[in-house]
Amino acid sequence: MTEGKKILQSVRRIQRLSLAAVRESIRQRVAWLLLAVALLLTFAGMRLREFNFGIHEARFLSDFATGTRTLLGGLLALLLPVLLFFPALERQTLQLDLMHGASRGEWLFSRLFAVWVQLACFVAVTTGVQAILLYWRGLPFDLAGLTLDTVMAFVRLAVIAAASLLLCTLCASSLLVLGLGALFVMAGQLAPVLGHGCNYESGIVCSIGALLSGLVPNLQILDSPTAGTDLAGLPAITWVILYGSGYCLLYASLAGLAFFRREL
Amino acid sequence: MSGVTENIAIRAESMVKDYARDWLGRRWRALDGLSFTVTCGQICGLVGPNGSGKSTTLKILAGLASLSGGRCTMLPDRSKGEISPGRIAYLPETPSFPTHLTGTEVLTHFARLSGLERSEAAMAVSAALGRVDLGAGSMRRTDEYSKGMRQRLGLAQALLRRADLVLLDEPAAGLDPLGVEILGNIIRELKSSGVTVVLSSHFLPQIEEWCDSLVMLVQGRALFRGTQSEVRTAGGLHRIYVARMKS
Repeated sequence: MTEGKKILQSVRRIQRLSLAAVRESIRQRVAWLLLAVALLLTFAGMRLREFNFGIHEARFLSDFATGTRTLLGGLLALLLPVLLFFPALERQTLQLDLMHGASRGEWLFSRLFAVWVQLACFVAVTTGVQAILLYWRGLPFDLAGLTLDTVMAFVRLAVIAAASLLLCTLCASSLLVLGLGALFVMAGQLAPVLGHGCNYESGIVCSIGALLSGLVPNLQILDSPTAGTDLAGLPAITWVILYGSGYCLLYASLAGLAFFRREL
Repeated sequence: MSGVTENIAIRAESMVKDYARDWLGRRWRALDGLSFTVTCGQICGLVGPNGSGKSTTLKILAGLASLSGGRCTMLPDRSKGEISPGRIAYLPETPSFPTHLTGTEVLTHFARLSGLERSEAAMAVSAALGRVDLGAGSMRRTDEYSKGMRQRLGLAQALLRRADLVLLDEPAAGLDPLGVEILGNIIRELKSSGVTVVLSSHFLPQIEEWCDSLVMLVQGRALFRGTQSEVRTAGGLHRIYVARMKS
């Protein structure tokens, strides 16, 4: 069999496993529930707009929707890999997939891909509703800016999901993954503050701190694209995508390594 | 190399398997120097009390678990070379399937995953369902299945493709008498078509009847190894089992 044919078959297996994983997620209803809550909260911004602390209504509604998307999307990005990984391990469906020709790498990547697809849908729907809301209220909104926000929100959630999957391959219980995942998000959000608090030039503790801060992305860069422009001299959105993709690749590779060694 | 050696399908040599107990590096031993051989086209039965290492042995043979020590080589036929993972069929101890799918959908998923085209997959699924007599229940979702039906579906997924080696972990568990009879027929069919089968079970009369060779495991070691005729000469498997356990 040629290399090209092998790759094509591998892609087909990933596609098939991903589809099965998305169907499994739909059955679990967690994504639907969180999407419904996110939409409800986005609409609730309309009712709460009177408490806008003097901010323009359009800005208030956008911030409220972004906050909702960040909070519930983060929760979804942490939960989905856990819900697709541990039940398959406990019910031995993973073993059967492996016995029918799928490799561990393909199986793991299919989970990640299925989660990314659902996160993309979540971000697209919530942003779409935000745009409709602004349009309906007759408020001005920048379509290009909204698209940029959508891409950034997805990159941010994709990184969190990849980290959650890495934790799944390393930990024995789903509760531990959720706990560590929450810590990861907090550490990522506070990365600049933590960075200032440590003198990296001396001491083994600070060296470990530097290593750890390298492993955890600065999620604030993914919140505000202008934060990264000076670093690489690239357009903001390109920098954000490269930064996020790099971390996704790192986490996916580490997850693959850990999963190859894991007892089933 | 003698003629008998040439036909060896599985050669397990001093297999050791340790599982991690905790993050401190403490381990517990599931297999402790297990050795046995299985000849090509033979049915080999693994018996032993709970926790003796039967399922671990099957997982290692399936390539789902790694060895901590020792060696395990699988050579179905000198001309074919080593058994590739794609040529091994496996029924886990408690098969479970995505609950939102019907039996037919589950089997189609596995058939397509194995690389079969749509029409080939449909034929393979229909044949496998027929062999395990699950035709009527195949359109129901698997969360409506009884334990016995899940076991039959598990058996069907193992029969989807022609395999060189079939590994069955407690295949008779949860099956009704008719199901056990169907299982016996399937095992005999596999043997007649030259497929090597390794199975574990607590049903001693059936395993004595179906298997050409038997390995009795206790605490990860082979306490007894023998052929069907040797077992019968020694007074039957039940007698050997009780005597070895007492000693």
